[in-house]
Amino acid sequence: MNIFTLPFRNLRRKLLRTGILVAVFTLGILSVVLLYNVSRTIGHSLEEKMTAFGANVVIYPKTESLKISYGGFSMGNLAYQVKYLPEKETVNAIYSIELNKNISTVAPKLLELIHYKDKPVAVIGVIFAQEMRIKSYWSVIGGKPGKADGVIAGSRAAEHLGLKTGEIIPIGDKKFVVSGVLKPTGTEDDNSIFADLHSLQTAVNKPNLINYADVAALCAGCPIEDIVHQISKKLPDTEINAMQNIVKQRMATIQTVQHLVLGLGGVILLTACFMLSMFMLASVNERKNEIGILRALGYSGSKIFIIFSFESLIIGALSGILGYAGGYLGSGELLKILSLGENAHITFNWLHLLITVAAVSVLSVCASAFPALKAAQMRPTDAFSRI
Amino acid sequence: MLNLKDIHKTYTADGVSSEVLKGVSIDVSEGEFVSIVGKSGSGKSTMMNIMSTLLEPDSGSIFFKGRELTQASSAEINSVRRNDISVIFQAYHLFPYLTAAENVLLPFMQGFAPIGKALREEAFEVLSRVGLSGKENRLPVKLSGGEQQRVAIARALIKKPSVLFADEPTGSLDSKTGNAIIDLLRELNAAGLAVVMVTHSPEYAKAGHTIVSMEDGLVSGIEKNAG
Repeated sequence: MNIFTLPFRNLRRKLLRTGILVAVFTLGILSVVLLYNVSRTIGHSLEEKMTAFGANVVIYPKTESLKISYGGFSMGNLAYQVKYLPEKETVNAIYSIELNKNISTVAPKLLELIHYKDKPVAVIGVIFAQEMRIKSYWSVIGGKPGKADGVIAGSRAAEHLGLKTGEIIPIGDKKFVVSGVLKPTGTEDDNSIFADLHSLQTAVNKPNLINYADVAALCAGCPIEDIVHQISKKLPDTEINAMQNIVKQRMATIQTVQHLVLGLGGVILLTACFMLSMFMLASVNERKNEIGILRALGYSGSKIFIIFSFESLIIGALSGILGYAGGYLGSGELLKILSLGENAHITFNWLHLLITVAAVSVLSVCASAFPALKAAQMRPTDAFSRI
Repeated sequence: MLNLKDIHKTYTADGVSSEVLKGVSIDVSEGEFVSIVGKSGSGKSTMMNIMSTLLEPDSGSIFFKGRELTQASSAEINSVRRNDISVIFQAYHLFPYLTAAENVLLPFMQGFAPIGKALREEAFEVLSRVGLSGKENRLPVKLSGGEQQRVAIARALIKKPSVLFADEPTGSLDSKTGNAIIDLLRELNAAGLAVVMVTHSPEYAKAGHTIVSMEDGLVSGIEKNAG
């Protein structure tokens, strides 16, 4: 038995009231945890879906060039010389940044101009697995390149050059086989031929060289500027362009959902805090005699404050545990109901539970600060009905 | 031991002031039994609340063992309440969710450290002293009025106070139980504990060595009783 015996016993004595308080607070916490988990999962799901539509960071060598294009019509680059990046070093540097968890895909590229059937055409060396990840809209008629010498032709390039599946195209000192033709994409890809990067590097004698790299970064909760900054520190001789409009659009979508959740959660918690405050105030009023006795026995005001605050803390801690557990379980169920659960992975995080319990405990103590203070300031004779 | 000099106290309610004590002086010696009697509204309970530090006077001085309590800090007052004085009330004021023994140990539940075995044994001993052996683990609701008052007395005694204040301790009891409580207070007094008791009953007041009569906020008479 010690000073905490009184709040524990009192809560146990008034089980129904304690139960209602815990239920209200738990509901508040549960809603916040549930909405947070769901919005976070939906946010990530949106991110992944949006990332599938392309890269959001492009890394290329520093040049003194000026790209001349207007309205989609390119007039070439005023470049003094073509510069290359070392492939392995560049890719490794990108994956070595602090925020590397946010790097979804790195797709390096080598561009080569060839003449086939006396017509010029651009051959792009890509790593097909990576390229397919950022260009999920690609649809190939025929087959994807199964071997290192396989190429895919863009729809317009195939039509213009009369390319067919199985046709052999000499590039540099190697021969490549057309394994498939892309369905029209409406992008520059329609005009190009795609070959395996490393085969192309060997064929044109540019080992380990690339012109640029596309990077798809996942940015739910991380600013793209930080990723760009970290990459530029690792690759000082490159220029890095973040496609801000894409990123900002992604961020705005997620932030709107999160702001909505925070607002709603705030209202729920505020209501719960108000209820707790009212309950505690009623409790102080109905326990005036007890307070009077405690004061008569020499309990100081601060001890009375501790007793009442501890009662709130117990309610808060209990609600925090139940609310987090309920929110965790509920969010999984809700995602299933919303048919968003197929790729969702809501993990039980002990640290989050601890933070939730601590935060709710502090919140509940703050909510009951006024009633506890009122109790602490009560004089013994104020407490007894008969003086 | 306890000296009150020229105590004044006025209550104000709804803009109307009422002077309850108009300059009262009382002395209580060590081991003395003082009974304070008077009609309702005579100011005797206010007087007892001021003597037991539960209420501050508007003016006047209170000396306890040479220390002036009217000038003391709240920490000092809490220390006096904790160590030197005990109060029992007409309504017992037991905590309904604590057993008899736990109610007795209430003065020691102020700390963060758990109450030790020695103190728990002492609580049982004090309860036995007031005639409640075997009822230590009962909740107040399972005890009679007289037994509840005995628990309150045990709670007051476990601190080993210098003075016990009793505000109408028999007010809620039948005469037989009331007599038993008065006998218990007499016994405690005989063992060296100073007792200050407020009562309506002239019969019970005779238990005191000194009977202080109050009327209209003033001491109207002090009678020494041979016992």
